[in-house]
Amino acid sequence: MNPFEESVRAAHSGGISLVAWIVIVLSIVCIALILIIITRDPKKVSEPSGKWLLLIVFFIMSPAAFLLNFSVAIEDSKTVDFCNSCHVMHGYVNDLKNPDSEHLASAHYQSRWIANDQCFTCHSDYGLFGNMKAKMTGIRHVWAYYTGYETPIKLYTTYNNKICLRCHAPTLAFQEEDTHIEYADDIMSSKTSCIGLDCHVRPHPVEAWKEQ
Amino acid sequence: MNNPSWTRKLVLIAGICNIIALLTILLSIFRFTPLTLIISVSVGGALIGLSVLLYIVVVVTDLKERGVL
Repeated sequence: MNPFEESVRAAHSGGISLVAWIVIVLSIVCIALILIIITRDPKKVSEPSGKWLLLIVFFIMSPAAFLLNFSVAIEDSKTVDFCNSCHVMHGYVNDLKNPDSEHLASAHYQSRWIANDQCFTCHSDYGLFGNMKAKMTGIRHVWAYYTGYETPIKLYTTYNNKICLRCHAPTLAFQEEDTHIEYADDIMSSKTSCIGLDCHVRPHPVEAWKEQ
Repeated sequence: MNNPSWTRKLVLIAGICNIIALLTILLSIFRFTPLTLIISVSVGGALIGLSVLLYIVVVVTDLKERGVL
Protein backbone atom coordinates (compact mmCIF):
# COMPACT_ATOMS: atom_id res chain seq x y z
CA MET A 1 0.00 0.00 0.00
CA ASN A 2 1.43 3.40 -0.95
CA PRO A 3 1.88 6.12 1.72
CA PHE A 4 -0.99 8.25 0.34
CA GLU A 5 -3.41 5.36 0.50
CA GLU A 6 -2.14 4.54 3.98
CA SER A 7 -2.76 8.11 5.16
CA VAL A 8 -6.30 8.12 3.75
CA ARG A 9 -6.96 4.77 5.36
CA ALA A 10 -5.64 5.99 8.71
CA ALA A 11 -7.78 9.13 8.49
CA HIS A 12 -10.88 7.04 7.83
CA SER A 13 -10.27 4.34 10.40
CA GLY A 14 -9.01 6.63 13.19
CA GLY A 15 -8.76 3.72 15.62
CA ILE A 16 -11.67 3.08 17.94
CA SER A 17 -14.49 5.58 17.52
CA LEU A 18 -16.07 7.56 20.36
CA VAL A 19 -19.24 5.46 20.20
CA ALA A 20 -17.16 2.28 20.40
CA TRP A 21 -15.42 3.69 23.49
CA ILE A 22 -18.83 4.36 25.05
CA VAL A 23 -19.77 0.72 24.32
CA ILE A 24 -16.52 -0.50 25.91
CA VAL A 25 -17.05 1.57 29.07
CA LEU A 26 -20.73 0.57 29.30
CA SER A 27 -19.87 -3.10 28.88
CA ILE A 28 -17.10 -3.06 31.47
CA VAL A 29 -19.30 -1.21 33.98
CA CYS A 30 -22.15 -3.69 33.38
CA ILE A 31 -19.88 -6.71 33.81
CA ALA A 32 -18.36 -5.23 36.98
CA LEU A 33 -21.77 -4.43 38.50
CA ILE A 34 -23.15 -7.90 37.72
CA LEU A 35 -20.08 -9.59 39.19
CA ILE A 36 -20.13 -7.41 42.31
CA ILE A 37 -23.86 -7.86 42.94
CA ILE A 38 -24.17 -11.55 42.10
CA THR A 39 -20.88 -13.09 43.12
CA ARG A 40 -19.16 -10.87 45.64
CA ASP A 41 -22.23 -9.92 47.62
CA PRO A 42 -25.10 -12.37 46.92
CA LYS A 43 -27.26 -10.79 49.64
CA LYS A 44 -27.46 -7.68 47.49
CA VAL A 45 -29.63 -9.59 45.03
CA SER A 46 -32.40 -9.58 47.63
CA GLU A 47 -31.92 -5.95 48.59
CA PRO A 48 -33.78 -3.17 46.78
CA SER A 49 -30.54 -1.40 45.83
CA GLY A 50 -29.17 -4.56 44.21
CA LYS A 51 -32.44 -5.20 42.40
CA TRP A 52 -32.60 -1.68 41.04
CA LEU A 53 -28.99 -1.81 39.93
CA LEU A 54 -29.57 -5.10 38.12
CA LEU A 55 -32.74 -3.68 36.58
CA ILE A 56 -30.75 -0.73 35.21
CA VAL A 57 -27.99 -3.05 33.96
CA PHE A 58 -30.32 -5.57 32.29
CA PHE A 59 -32.92 -3.16 30.91
CA ILE A 60 -30.96 -0.04 30.07
CA MET A 61 -27.17 -0.34 30.06
CA SER A 62 -26.70 -3.70 28.33
CA PRO A 63 -29.34 -3.08 25.62
CA ALA A 64 -27.81 0.38 25.08
CA ALA A 65 -24.35 -1.18 24.66
CA PHE A 66 -25.79 -3.71 22.23
CA LEU A 67 -27.66 -1.14 20.13
CA LEU A 68 -24.72 1.28 20.00
CA ASN A 69 -22.38 -1.54 19.01
CA PHE A 70 -24.89 -2.68 16.41
CA SER A 71 -24.97 0.74 14.78
CA VAL A 72 -21.16 1.00 14.79
CA ALA A 73 -20.78 -2.52 13.43
CA ILE A 74 -23.30 -1.96 10.64
CA GLU A 75 -21.42 1.16 9.55
CA ASP A 76 -17.95 -0.42 9.84
CA SER A 77 -19.04 -3.51 7.91
CA LYS A 78 -19.38 -1.38 4.76
CA THR A 79 -15.64 -0.81 4.42
CA VAL A 80 -13.43 -2.44 1.79
CA ASP A 81 -11.11 -3.68 4.56
CA PHE A 82 -14.01 -5.52 6.17
CA CYS A 83 -14.88 -7.24 2.87
CA ASN A 84 -11.21 -8.09 2.46
CA SER A 85 -11.14 -9.85 5.84
CA CYS A 86 -12.52 -12.93 4.05
CA HIS A 87 -9.69 -14.63 2.13
CA VAL A 88 -11.84 -15.26 -0.91
CA MET A 89 -12.09 -11.49 -1.43
CA HIS A 90 -8.32 -10.89 -1.50
CA GLY A 91 -8.10 -11.28 -5.28
CA TYR A 92 -10.91 -8.80 -5.84
CA VAL A 93 -9.51 -6.19 -3.46
CA ASN A 94 -5.95 -6.64 -4.75
CA ASP A 95 -7.27 -5.94 -8.24
CA LEU A 96 -9.08 -2.83 -6.96
CA LYS A 97 -5.75 -1.46 -5.78
CA ASN A 98 -3.68 -2.64 -8.74
CA PRO A 99 -2.66 0.45 -10.78
CA ASP A 100 -2.26 -1.71 -13.90
CA SER A 101 -5.76 -3.13 -13.67
CA GLU A 102 -8.19 -2.22 -16.43
CA HIS A 103 -11.25 -3.63 -14.69
CA LEU A 104 -14.26 -1.47 -14.04
CA ALA A 105 -14.26 -1.79 -10.26
CA SER A 106 -10.57 -0.88 -10.12
CA ALA A 107 -11.17 2.26 -12.18
CA HIS A 108 -13.99 3.29 -9.85
CA TYR A 109 -11.82 2.63 -6.80
CA GLN A 110 -8.56 4.21 -7.96
CA SER A 111 -10.18 7.29 -9.49
CA ARG A 112 -12.36 7.56 -6.38
CA TRP A 113 -15.47 7.83 -8.53
CA ILE A 114 -16.90 6.22 -5.43
CA ALA A 115 -15.32 7.96 -2.45
CA ASN A 116 -15.65 5.29 0.24
CA ASP A 117 -17.09 1.83 0.91
CA GLN A 118 -16.69 0.90 -2.75
CA CYS A 119 -17.62 -2.81 -2.41
CA PHE A 120 -20.78 -2.02 -0.48
CA THR A 121 -21.81 0.83 -2.78
CA CYS A 122 -21.78 -1.38 -5.89
CA HIS A 123 -23.20 -4.45 -4.18
CA SER A 124 -26.20 -3.00 -2.37
CA ASP A 125 -29.50 -1.96 -3.86
CA TYR A 126 -30.80 1.56 -3.48
CA GLY A 127 -32.47 2.79 -0.28
CA LEU A 128 -32.98 1.41 3.21
CA PHE A 129 -34.27 -1.96 2.06
CA GLY A 130 -31.30 -2.24 -0.29
CA ASN A 131 -28.99 -1.79 2.68
CA MET A 132 -30.90 -4.35 4.74
CA LYS A 133 -30.92 -6.80 1.86
CA ALA A 134 -27.16 -6.35 1.44
CA LYS A 135 -26.66 -7.05 5.15
CA MET A 136 -28.79 -10.21 4.98
CA THR A 137 -26.81 -11.33 1.95
CA GLY A 138 -23.63 -10.58 3.91
CA ILE A 139 -24.77 -12.94 6.67
CA ARG A 140 -25.42 -15.56 3.99
CA HIS A 141 -21.88 -14.98 2.68
CA VAL A 142 -20.33 -15.45 6.12
CA TRP A 143 -22.33 -18.66 6.59
CA ALA A 144 -21.14 -19.90 3.19
CA TYR A 145 -17.57 -18.85 4.00
CA TYR A 146 -17.41 -21.10 7.05
CA THR A 147 -19.57 -23.96 5.80
CA GLY A 148 -18.32 -24.14 2.22
CA TYR A 149 -19.19 -22.55 -1.09
CA GLU A 150 -19.03 -23.38 -4.77
CA THR A 151 -16.29 -21.99 -6.95
CA PRO A 152 -16.01 -19.99 -9.06
CA ILE A 153 -17.98 -17.63 -6.87
CA LYS A 154 -20.64 -15.65 -8.66
CA LEU A 155 -23.56 -13.33 -7.97
CA TYR A 156 -26.82 -14.94 -6.83
CA THR A 157 -28.77 -13.08 -9.51
CA THR A 158 -28.14 -10.87 -12.52
CA TYR A 159 -26.45 -7.62 -11.53
CA ASN A 160 -28.99 -4.86 -11.06
CA ASN A 161 -28.19 -2.03 -13.52
CA LYS A 162 -30.04 0.42 -11.26
CA ILE A 163 -27.00 0.36 -8.96
CA CYS A 164 -24.91 1.79 -11.82
CA LEU A 165 -27.70 4.13 -12.88
CA ARG A 166 -28.13 5.82 -9.51
CA CYS A 167 -24.82 7.60 -10.16
CA HIS A 168 -24.54 7.50 -13.95
CA ALA A 169 -28.11 8.16 -15.08
CA PRO A 170 -28.16 11.83 -14.05
CA THR A 171 -24.90 12.61 -15.90
CA LEU A 172 -24.98 14.27 -19.31
CA ALA A 173 -22.26 11.98 -20.65
CA PHE A 174 -24.51 9.00 -19.94
CA GLN A 175 -27.70 10.59 -21.24
CA GLU A 176 -26.12 11.75 -24.50
CA GLU A 177 -24.67 8.36 -25.37
CA ASP A 178 -26.62 6.96 -28.36
CA THR A 179 -26.43 3.34 -27.18
CA HIS A 180 -27.90 4.27 -23.82
CA ILE A 181 -30.78 6.06 -25.52
CA GLU A 182 -31.41 3.17 -27.90
CA TYR A 183 -31.44 0.53 -25.18
CA ALA A 184 -32.83 2.70 -22.37
CA ASP A 185 -35.67 0.34 -21.40
CA ASP A 186 -33.48 -2.75 -21.48
CA ILE A 187 -30.80 -1.02 -19.44
CA MET A 188 -33.23 0.23 -16.82
CA SER A 189 -34.90 -3.17 -16.46
CA SER A 190 -31.49 -4.94 -16.34
CA LYS A 191 -32.58 -6.96 -19.37
CA THR A 192 -29.33 -5.87 -20.97
CA SER A 193 -26.31 -5.79 -18.68
CA CYS A 194 -24.06 -2.74 -18.63
CA ILE A 195 -21.13 -5.14 -18.50
CA GLY A 196 -19.88 -7.37 -21.26
CA LEU A 197 -20.84 -7.61 -24.94
CA ASP A 198 -19.59 -4.43 -26.61
CA CYS A 199 -20.42 -2.17 -23.68
CA HIS A 200 -18.24 -1.97 -20.55
CA VAL A 201 -15.33 -4.11 -19.38
CA ARG A 202 -15.69 -6.68 -16.59
CA PRO A 203 -15.77 -5.27 -13.05
CA HIS A 204 -13.38 -7.89 -11.63
CA PRO A 205 -10.87 -10.42 -13.00
CA VAL A 206 -12.58 -13.71 -13.92
CA GLU A 207 -10.31 -15.76 -11.70
CA ALA A 208 -9.95 -13.34 -8.78
CA TRP A 209 -11.48 -15.88 -6.41
CA LYS A 210 -8.46 -18.15 -6.93
CA GLU A 211 -6.11 -15.62 -5.35
CA GLN A 212 -6.55 -16.25 -1.63
CA MET B 1 -38.36 -10.44 51.88
CA ASN B 2 -37.34 -14.00 51.08
CA ASN B 3 -36.57 -14.70 47.48
CA PRO B 4 -37.27 -18.27 46.44
CA SER B 5 -34.00 -19.99 45.63
CA TRP B 6 -35.06 -20.48 42.01
CA THR B 7 -35.42 -16.74 41.45
CA ARG B 8 -31.86 -16.27 42.71
CA LYS B 9 -30.78 -18.89 40.24
CA LEU B 10 -32.63 -17.04 37.51
CA VAL B 11 -30.81 -13.83 38.43
CA LEU B 12 -27.53 -15.72 38.34
CA ILE B 13 -28.32 -17.19 34.91
CA ALA B 14 -29.44 -13.77 33.65
CA GLY B 15 -26.19 -12.28 34.91
CA ILE B 16 -24.07 -14.95 33.24
CA CYS B 17 -25.99 -14.54 29.95
CA ASN B 18 -25.52 -10.80 30.13
CA ILE B 19 -21.80 -11.07 30.81
CA ILE B 20 -21.30 -13.49 27.90
CA ALA B 21 -23.29 -11.14 25.62
CA LEU B 22 -21.19 -8.15 26.65
CA LEU B 23 -17.99 -10.15 26.10
CA THR B 24 -19.11 -10.96 22.53
CA ILE B 25 -19.72 -7.24 22.00
CA LEU B 26 -16.25 -6.36 23.33
CA LEU B 27 -14.73 -9.08 21.14
CA SER B 28 -16.37 -7.61 18.04
CA ILE B 29 -14.94 -4.18 18.88
CA PHE B 30 -11.37 -5.33 19.46
CA ARG B 31 -11.35 -7.96 16.71
CA PHE B 32 -13.79 -6.81 14.06
CA THR B 33 -14.32 -9.64 11.56
CA PRO B 34 -17.47 -10.96 9.85
CA LEU B 35 -17.63 -13.84 12.33
CA THR B 36 -17.26 -11.75 15.49
CA LEU B 37 -19.76 -9.24 14.09
CA ILE B 38 -22.38 -11.94 13.51
CA ILE B 39 -21.71 -13.55 16.89
CA SER B 40 -22.07 -10.22 18.70
CA VAL B 41 -25.26 -9.33 16.84
CA SER B 42 -26.95 -12.75 16.97
CA VAL B 43 -25.64 -14.57 20.05
CA GLY B 44 -25.05 -11.33 21.98
CA GLY B 45 -28.48 -9.99 21.10
CA ALA B 46 -30.20 -13.26 21.98
CA LEU B 47 -28.42 -13.51 25.34
CA ILE B 48 -29.25 -9.90 26.26
CA GLY B 49 -32.89 -10.60 25.32
CA LEU B 50 -32.84 -13.78 27.41
CA SER B 51 -31.38 -12.00 30.44
CA VAL B 52 -34.09 -9.32 30.17
CA LEU B 53 -36.80 -12.00 30.00
CA LEU B 54 -35.37 -13.90 32.97
CA TYR B 55 -35.19 -10.74 35.03
CA ILE B 56 -38.79 -9.87 34.11
CA VAL B 57 -39.80 -13.27 35.53
CA VAL B 58 -37.87 -12.47 38.71
CA VAL B 59 -39.47 -9.01 39.02
CA VAL B 60 -42.99 -10.37 38.40
CA THR B 61 -42.46 -13.13 40.97
CA ASP B 62 -41.19 -10.58 43.46
CA LEU B 63 -44.17 -8.28 42.88
CA LYS B 64 -46.58 -11.22 43.27
CA GLU B 65 -44.91 -12.13 46.57
CA ARG B 66 -45.42 -8.60 47.77
CA GLY B 67 -49.06 -8.70 46.69
CA VAL B 68 -48.60 -5.88 44.19
CA LEU B 69 -49.74 -8.05 41.28
